[in-house]
Amino acid sequence: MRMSHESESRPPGSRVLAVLRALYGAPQDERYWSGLESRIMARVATSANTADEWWLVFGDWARAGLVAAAIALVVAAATLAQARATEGRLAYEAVLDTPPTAPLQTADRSPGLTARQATLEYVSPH
Amino acid sequence: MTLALATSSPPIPIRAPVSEPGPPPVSERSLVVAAQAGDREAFSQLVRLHQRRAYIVARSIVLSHEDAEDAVQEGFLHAYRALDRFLPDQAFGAWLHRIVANAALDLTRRRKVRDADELPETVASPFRDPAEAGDLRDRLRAALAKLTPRQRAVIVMHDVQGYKHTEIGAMLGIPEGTARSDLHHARMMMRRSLGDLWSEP
Repeated sequence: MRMSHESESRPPGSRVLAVLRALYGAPQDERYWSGLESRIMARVATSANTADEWWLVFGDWARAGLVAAAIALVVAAATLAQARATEGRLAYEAVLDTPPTAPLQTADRSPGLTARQATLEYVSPH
Repeated sequence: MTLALATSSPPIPIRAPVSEPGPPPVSERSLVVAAQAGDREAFSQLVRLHQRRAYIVARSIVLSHEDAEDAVQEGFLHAYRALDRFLPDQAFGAWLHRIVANAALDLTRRRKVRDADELPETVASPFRDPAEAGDLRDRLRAALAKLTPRQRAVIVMHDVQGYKHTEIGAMLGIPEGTARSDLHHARMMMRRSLGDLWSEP
């Protein structure tokens, strides 16, 4: 089985190899290569110019964007500060204005009792 | 675009080794540094130095000369745009070949299957009988078109252009073992398509 696989994966013979070389060989004409170089460099130049233009456009937009971002930041900070102040004021007023809904349970220690006796009396008053 | 080659052209030299390991030649390094600094003439010289090998890499992967040229152009363009990320002490050729191979693989994926290879008939032929040469060429093209792009790239790079498995792996971004396995399967498929003709002396 192994032998059969090895024979199946042999390299091409000289006839096939000759055709493959003709099919896959690089062009020999020097003019072709100078032409290809020119075409590559033309694309590089176009790409570079396009990138430059984009950068210029981006530069203009960047200035406007920075100003807008700064304004937005100031507005956001002011709004946040105002919101916090309002929230604090409301919370303070809520505490002061709202009457307690249940009487507070208080306990006084009768004079003369030890801490243990006072605790017992508080837990079980009767 | 047609590729005009004289029928009397000498046999086409195929072997184009990937850039040797180790530091690149000083002149190439200085070209890379200059190109990184925005010197377009330096990049043009890099194109001149590497376009043939880049073409051979691309041609191994795609099915036609035109696609190979497109992949080479794309590859150089990508390389130019990514030049600032390249470390000049590395081998520029190896880096470029990887980019070109990726461009060729992308192109092949986009093209899916092309009906026919448009290589003109003026390519140098090893046969005296044009009919025989044409028939074998057609059968070879059909058999190669059945392979995956990577299998085709591996078999052409190894068996036709003489690259080593490690070089092929580096260019295609696959482990050396995968390149070996791809070669094995590609040869088996070619042999099944062509029969004994595949290994005929």
